[in-house]
Formats: sequence, structure tokens, C-alpha cells
Amino acid sequence: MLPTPAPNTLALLMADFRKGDKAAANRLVELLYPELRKLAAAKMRGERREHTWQPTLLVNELYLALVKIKALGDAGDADQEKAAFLGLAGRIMKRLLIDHSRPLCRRAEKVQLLQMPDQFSPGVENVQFVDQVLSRLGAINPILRSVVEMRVFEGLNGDEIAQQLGCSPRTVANHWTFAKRWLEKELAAPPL
Amino acid sequence: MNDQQWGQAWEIYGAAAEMDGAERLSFLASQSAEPEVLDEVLSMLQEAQNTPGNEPALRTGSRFGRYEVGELLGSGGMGCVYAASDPELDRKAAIKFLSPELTDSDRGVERLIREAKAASALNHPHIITVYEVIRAPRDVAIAMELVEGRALRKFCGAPVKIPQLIDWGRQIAQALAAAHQRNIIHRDVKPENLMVRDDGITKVLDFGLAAQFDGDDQKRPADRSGFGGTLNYMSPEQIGGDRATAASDVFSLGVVLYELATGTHPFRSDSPIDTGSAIAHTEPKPPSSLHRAIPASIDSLLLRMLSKDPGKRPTATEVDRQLSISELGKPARSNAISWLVAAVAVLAITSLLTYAFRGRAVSKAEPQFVQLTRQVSENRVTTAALSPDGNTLLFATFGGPVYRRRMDDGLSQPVDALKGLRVDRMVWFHDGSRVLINGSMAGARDKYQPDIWVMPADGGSLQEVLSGGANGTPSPDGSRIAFTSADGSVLSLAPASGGERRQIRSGGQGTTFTSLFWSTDGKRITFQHAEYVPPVNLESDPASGFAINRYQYSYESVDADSGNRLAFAKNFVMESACGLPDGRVLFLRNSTEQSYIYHLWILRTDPHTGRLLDQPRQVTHEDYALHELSASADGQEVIALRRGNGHPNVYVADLPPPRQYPRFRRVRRLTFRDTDEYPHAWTPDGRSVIFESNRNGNFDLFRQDIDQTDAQPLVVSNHTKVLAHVSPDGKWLLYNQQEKKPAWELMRIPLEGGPAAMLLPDVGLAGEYTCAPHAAGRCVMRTVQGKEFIFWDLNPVRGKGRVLVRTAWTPAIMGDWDISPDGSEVAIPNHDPRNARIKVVPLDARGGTAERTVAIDGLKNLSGVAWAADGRGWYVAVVGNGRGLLFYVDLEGRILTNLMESMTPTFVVPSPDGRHVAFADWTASANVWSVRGL
Repeated sequence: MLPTPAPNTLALLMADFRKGDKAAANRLVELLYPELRKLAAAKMRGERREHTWQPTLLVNELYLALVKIKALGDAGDADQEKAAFLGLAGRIMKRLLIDHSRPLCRRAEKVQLLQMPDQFSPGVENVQFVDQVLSRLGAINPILRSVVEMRVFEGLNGDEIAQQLGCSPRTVANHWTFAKRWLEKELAAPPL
Repeated sequence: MNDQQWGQAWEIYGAAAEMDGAERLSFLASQSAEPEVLDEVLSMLQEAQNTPGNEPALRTGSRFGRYEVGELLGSGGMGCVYAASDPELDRKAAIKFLSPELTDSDRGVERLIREAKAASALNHPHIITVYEVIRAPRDVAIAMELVEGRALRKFCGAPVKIPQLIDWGRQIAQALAAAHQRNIIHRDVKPENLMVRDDGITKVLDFGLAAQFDGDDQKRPADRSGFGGTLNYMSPEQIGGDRATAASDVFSLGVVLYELATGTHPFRSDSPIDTGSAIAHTEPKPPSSLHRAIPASIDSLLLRMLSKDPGKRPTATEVDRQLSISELGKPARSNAISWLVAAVAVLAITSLLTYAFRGRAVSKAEPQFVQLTRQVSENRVTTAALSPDGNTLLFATFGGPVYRRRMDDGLSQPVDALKGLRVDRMVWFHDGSRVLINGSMAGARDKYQPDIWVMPADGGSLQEVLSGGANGTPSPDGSRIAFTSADGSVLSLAPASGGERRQIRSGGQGTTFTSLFWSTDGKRITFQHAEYVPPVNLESDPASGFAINRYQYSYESVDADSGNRLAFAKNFVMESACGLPDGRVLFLRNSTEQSYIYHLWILRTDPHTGRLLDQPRQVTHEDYALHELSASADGQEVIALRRGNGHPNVYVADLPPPRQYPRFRRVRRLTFRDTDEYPHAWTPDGRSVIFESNRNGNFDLFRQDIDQTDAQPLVVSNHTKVLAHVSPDGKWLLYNQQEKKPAWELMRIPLEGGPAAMLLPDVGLAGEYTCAPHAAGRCVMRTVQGKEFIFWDLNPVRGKGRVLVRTAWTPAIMGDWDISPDGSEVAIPNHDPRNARIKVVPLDARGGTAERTVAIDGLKNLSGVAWAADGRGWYVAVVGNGRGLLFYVDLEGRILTNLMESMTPTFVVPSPDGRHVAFADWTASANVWSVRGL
């Protein structure tokens, strides 16, 4: 289960966030990112090998989990609430991909986790974007996708990934180098 | 790259990444793929090489052996380096944890440790000391001296001062020499491995560490990747897969020193494979051609170090010795004429067609250039614009009309509406109904100001819409115009009918926004942003002060309403850009900074945001002097301006009677040669131009009557003679002669014939002189000493006399200054892309006049100044948009006449009677070519 943040905090932050409060958005990211990571890791343990997950499903599950513990408001316009949450989660994932695909030297710079657009558009397009990016990478080679998921979303290190995939750390590193390069080009993150 | 190309890249990369050195090389060699796919694969392999297999946990804060591990200093293919402290010996250290791949192969790691220790055992002040090797169950680490300072990499972007270069170069060469004597080879000399401490001591790191698995087991030293570390500093033999020797280290050091000396890598290219190919096959340019302050001895030393043949390279000991005897103050071009020619060439539009070697076949067919116009150099094409439907071409010719040409049958007719305008650039409105004309009134008085007009496409009457604007570009709906201020530093919008301007982006002096184009939705404007980089070394190192301006270029796309930046890319040269509706951008980029060889490039951008979708791709590879691009709206038809080969030749023009504003009349070419001809003086009667020409092989002096077609030899022999001036009394001709290199002698010969006599045995390189050819005039010589110019009296009979005046040094090029007709003052131009100033220095301090500076409003980039014969004004030459412009300004700096445009910013030589001028201009033609098969 997800015991961490005080239920009210999340709900209040979500409300502020939907009103366009950027500070709330950043705080939400700080709170949600570890949760997302934990969930991803818990979900995947034991299910590995040739298996990849869907970011949309994952985010949905996170949402449901949070609703269940009443971390999020459950009354009224639940659909809008959910759409806003999915949008935010998608952004987090996209941001993670971008950060990981940066060259080392730039990653060392302090980067704000979430660059908020001026206007927040609720919706699922960001999660879908992450979905699409990952499946295109998976089309080149499924292992590339797995390595990215484990490294970026689950926070595993090279050794752990190698164990999971049953190959050498060197092979994982080779895959990661390629995937990183591909992501860097694909996401074409502008220097901010 | 598209998905399919990425798939292909994975196929090759995935397989190669799992292979070892030799196997990988032959595997890669057998692959056929598009160059960009291969380039991508190679750079990923390089990167994978530098990524530790299993990015290990950070060791900061832990203990290793007796060391306390501190911050992470760096990481690479060899492992990670941490700062550490040794509490027992109470000293700082650096600990390098060798990466597991290395330690897995015990033979490799032992050999490598042995070499590192052996080098350290030399106990050399410039080789880092290895303290100990620590072995733990899972790790091997080397504890060594901690060097607190900076890697030489930090200094590689711009030329370092020569004394600095010599100092560093000697220290490193000494370290290598000591190691080589014990048969220890470094194998990976590169700026990252060369540290300089704050006290100036350099230390060579990682001796022998790059070597892996060579020797007994017959494997190549090229290591696991086949491309170990970076390719950029490898010797040709290492690239070819041969074992590294002492000579390989010398080559690598040569690359490093070259880069420090010039600020440029000698084999710079856009991709690893091109760099590798260039190292193996291309001869580097002499360093002095990139940076003039480099002494001849260093110039030749660096070229020898970079010999392809290891046997021809000097040893490290020789390098040290050569550097020690190189002194500051002897620039490489001790040949004054080559300096002069180079000076003009650097500033000029030359057509240096250097066919650079390209080591790999270009898999895609090279686009074809088909010539459309056939103008000779005297009325070459200066700018051209293709209509959006691709059916009509407008092109402007030098000094002549603008033509409208039908693309299908080539029928061309002059456009009368544009008569009397000097057109800089034409841009069609998107619907093809009108054309925006950027230009200026030819011969306009009082000021120099570019203006913007709108012309109906059918040639109806012209309407001025913006006074004092440049780079005008209409929005897609035709309602607005994006344009810059005359100096290019402010970007504004205005209604297409004229009217109120709104500034949306501005930079400081020295900033220019060029290559403007709109996005198809009219929401963005994209441009090249050039930022002037003021010289760093000039003040402290006048010898390096050759006036070459440097810029930092970037790609920028801004919101057309707010000016907010939407997309940006650093270090991005993008000249003459054409934006296509699908987000592709065609543009020109030169092969190196200062080069006039341009290639056509294509860039994919997001049509909505302007963001770069991938790296730009070079589409033409033939080395042409391209200088303008225009495309139809769909990008199907593309035209480019291409210059031909040419030479400086002598031109003359008539001037109006005294007391009228000078204006060039009857501009005509005097010499018609395929050789270099530079005018310097006139005969006292004002009838003949005295010029130097290399028509006989070396530079000789000639005179030619301005109404005749043949030249008479004045001084002809088989050694070089340059810089001719006539003495004030009209009796003598003075010139510099080089009988034996490197000394230049100042010679004197009676103008009416007779034997030559030596006036000064060695004038040195900076022995520039000039004479005011008037009865009251005099001759003066200019030399540079420290941070000063010194002007000496020069008597045509007695030679060099006393010092007349000293003044602060400023960037200069040869022959850019002049003496007043009465011999009382000299005028010196600044060379600054931000403003135009002439310093006037009185030669006789006894008059009590102080030196003064005259500012010329509205101009920048002065390249030369010459005094009018009556002493009432100056002819000034400026560099602008890759061409030269000549103005006549009065002694207060007011522009009186915009005289002419030339292909080269040049100096003017007025005749003593004030009736004519002579000047040099390039004879290259320029024509419109169609680019097919893009």
C-alpha cells in the first residue's frame, strides 16, 4: 500500500494545482515521484523477462491506489480530477526520460524536475506520449525498452538490470548507451 | 534519422558493441550503411567505451585502504577518479578505481599498472607520481598525486599566447622525452590528460594507461572498442590499427599544441569518421594561416609533428629544443607579400577552391549545380531571389540593373523600377504578388542607410516602406515585415504598408540577427544570432592582434508577437536560410570559420515550435564559394549564387574636379591578368599606376598608363619586390625586396631609371612604410613594439631616421593606415565590428596638437583608410556582409559619399593630382546556379 503522504496534503495540492498553482505542481511532483517509482518496482518484481508495462496502466493504478487511501478527493468532478492527475503523472514520466537522456555533463547541472507550461492542459496526452516513445523504442529492440523502464522508472542500477535480464552488465551498458542516444535525439530536449 | 535508420543503427551497433578490437574493426569495415547511420554508430560505440559497464555506486565518503574517498573528480573508460586523503601521511591524493572490465583481464591490468609505475618512477617533475596500487577483493585502484589545476582542455577553444604555448609545450615534451628514453609510450596524449596547475606547472597524467593488451598476445593496442577513448588525438598509424610508438605521442602532442595555438583542431570535422579520415589523409593547414601571431619556427614545427609519416616527425627532445629557440615576434609569414595577400584574402571574398579530401564515398548522389546566368566579373550577380512558384528569378548585377528572368526559357529583362538602387537582398511575398527590396540609394550623400521598399511583382512603381532597416522579410500573409536595424542588432516588426515599428528583440553592439525567415503559420521568426566575441589576448599580446573578428553563432526562433525565445541551438552557423512549410530549413554553412567555401545544409525543425528535430545534414560536399540561397515555396526549386575563381587586379576611376564631393566615375579595370596585382602608388604626373604583380612568377613592380593596355616593367628580377611608394620629390621609387629569406631590404631606385641602392638592410616584417607623394609630404615607417606603434621618419636618401611619434597599439592589418598629404599626421583605422573610429596622430609633437579620434556614425568594421589628395577627407573601406564598401568621409567623420561596393574591402590609392584613384578588386565572377537533385 501507499502510506506515505498525508491524504489531505495531496488532495489540497491537487486542488491548487488545478487552479494553476505552479508551486503546488512542483510539490506534487516531489511527493508523487517516489510513489510512482515504488509502484513500478513493486508491480514488476517477479514479472520480468520479455514483459513490458504500459505507462498508462501504471499511472492509472497509481491513481486508483491514491483514491483508495483517500489521498485524493473522490467527490464531484472525479473525471476532471483524474484527467489532471494523469496529465501531471505523464509529465513526470516524460521529464524523467528527458533527464535520463541528457549527456552526463548536463545531467550534473541542477535541473528543476518539472518545467511547467504557462497553461496547464489536463488530459492523458503526456502519458500517451510516453507510451508511444517507449513502444517505438521497443520496436527497434524490446530489450532496449526494458532497460529504459528499469533504469528510468524503477531506478535499478546496471547490475540489478543485468540480473533481471540474465545478461552481463556490459551488455546492459551497451543497450543503455543506445537507448539514451535515441531518447536524446527523439525528445530533442532544448537547452533550457 | 528515421525509425528505419535507427533500426539499422541498432543492428550494427548492437553487434559491434559485443565485439573486441580487431574483430570489431573488420566487422565495421564490412558494413554498408548511410554515412549518418555509421557516424551515429561510431559515436555511440565511443560513448559506450567511456561509460563504465556498471555505473558503480558513488564511493564518496567511504574508505578504501587507508584512504578516505572524497568527491568524484571524473570518470571515463578507465574508471572513476576521486579526490582522497591519506590520514597516515597527511596528504591529499587522487584515487583511480579501474573499471571492472579492465580488472577482469589480469594480464591487461598488470601491464598497465607496470607502465604507470614505470613512468612515475622516472620521478619527472612533469609526470604525475603514482603512490601505490591498492588491490581489494573486487577492486583495483591506483593512488596518485592529486593535481589541483585545470586540464588543458579548458584552454582549447581560443588561441593561447605564444609564450604560454611554448612554456606548456616544452614541459610536456620534456615529460614525453624522459618517458620515451625508457621506452615508455603514453598512447593517449590529449588535453584531458594534461593538467596545468595554478602555478603554471604542467603534469602528464595516465601514462601508459591507454595501452591495453598489446605486446605479447599480438593484439592491437587499439583496445576493446576498436576506437579507444577519443579519436581526435590519435595518430594516423593508431587509426590504421598499428601499434603506438614514441612518434605517435609526438603526433598527438602536435594536435594538442596546434589546437592551443590556433583555437582550432587541425582535423576538425563534424563526425568521428570524418575526423579519423582527416587524420589519416588530410594535410593540416599551416597554423599561421589560422592565427597570424604564430612564429615561423613553431609553424613548421607543428606541421612536422603532424607528418603522416612517423619517421618524419621530430622526437620529443627535438620538440622541446625547437620550442626553446622559438621566440616571440617572428610571425610565420615573414614574407610580407603573403601577409598582405592573406590579409586581403581573409577579409575578401576569395574563391579559394580547396578540394578537401573526404575519406569516404558519399552514398547519396551529390546534388548537381547547373549554371543559369552567365555574367562576367565586372557585372557579376550580387543577389538573387526565386519566386514562390519557382517560375521567376530576380537577380541583381554589380553596378548594373536587376533582371527578371523566366525560369522556363531563360528570357531576362531589366527591371526599370529598381534603377539607381543598390540592392542587398530581395524577398518575395508568399503569394508572389510583391517583392520586398532591401538596399540603398547608390551614391547617396550625407549618410549610409539601408532602406526597405515594396515592389509589385510586375515591376510597377516602388514604394519605400521602411527607412533605415535591413534584412526585411515579409510575413506569410503579407501583412507584416520582420526586419533589423541597419547594424542588425535590433529585430522589429512593422506593417507591410509601413507605419509603426515594434521592437521584439534586441542585442548589444556587435550583435547581428540575420537569415530571417517566418514560420508558415506566421507565428514565429527564426534567424541566426551572431554575437561578437571581443578579442581576449589582444591587449596583452599585440603580436597576435591581427584583426580577425570572431563571432559566436546560434540558431534562434522567437514568438513573432512577444519576441520570446521558443527554440535555440548553440554553436550553429546558418547563413542565407530558407524555411520550408514542412519545417525543413535549407541554409549555407562554411567549412571552417573564415572560410569562403560554403556547403548546403538541411535541418529538420518542428514546424510549430521551431525546435530542432535532429542534427543538420550536409547535402552538398563539393567545395564551392556559395554565398546565397533561394528556394521556391515547396522547396522543389533551389538556386544558389556561386563565385568563380579570381584574382585581385587593378581598377581605376575618375574623380570630379576639386571642391566637389568625390564620386567614382568611369570605374574600369586596368589590368587583365590571371595573376595577383596590387596598386600602391602613382607616377608624379598622375598618369600611371605603379603596382606589384606576380605575372612573371614572383612579385615585380610595374607601371601602366591609365589609358594604355600594357604595363611597363619598373623593377623586375627573380626575387620578390613589394610595397612601392614614390618619394615626395617624385625622384625615387622605394620598395621592399626579399633577396634571401627571411630578411626584407628597403630599396631605392631612381624613378626615371638607374641603379638600385639599398636604403635599409633589414626592415623586418613590420617595416611597413608609406609616403605622401606631395612636395610638402614625407615618408614614414610603422613598426610595432610592445603595446605601441612607433612611427619613424624615413628619408629616401638617408634611410630610417628618428622616432616621430609613438601611439597605443590597436588591431591592425598591413597597409590599413595612411599619412596626410602634408606629412603632418597619420590616420589609423580601428577594426571593430561595433563601431568605426579613425585615430589621427600628429607626427610632430612640437605643433602641440594631441592625437584625436574621429568616429564615423553608422559604419563599423573599418578595414582601411586613405587620405584624399587634397587632405580634406578620407577614403575608408569597410567589411560588410562578405563584401567591401567604400565611402568618402570628411575629417569630422561625416559620410559624404557612398562610393561603391567592391568584392573585397580594399585600400584606395588616390593619384597625387586628385583626379583619379586606383584600387584592387577581385576579378571573380558570380552567377546563379540551379541546385538539382536535393
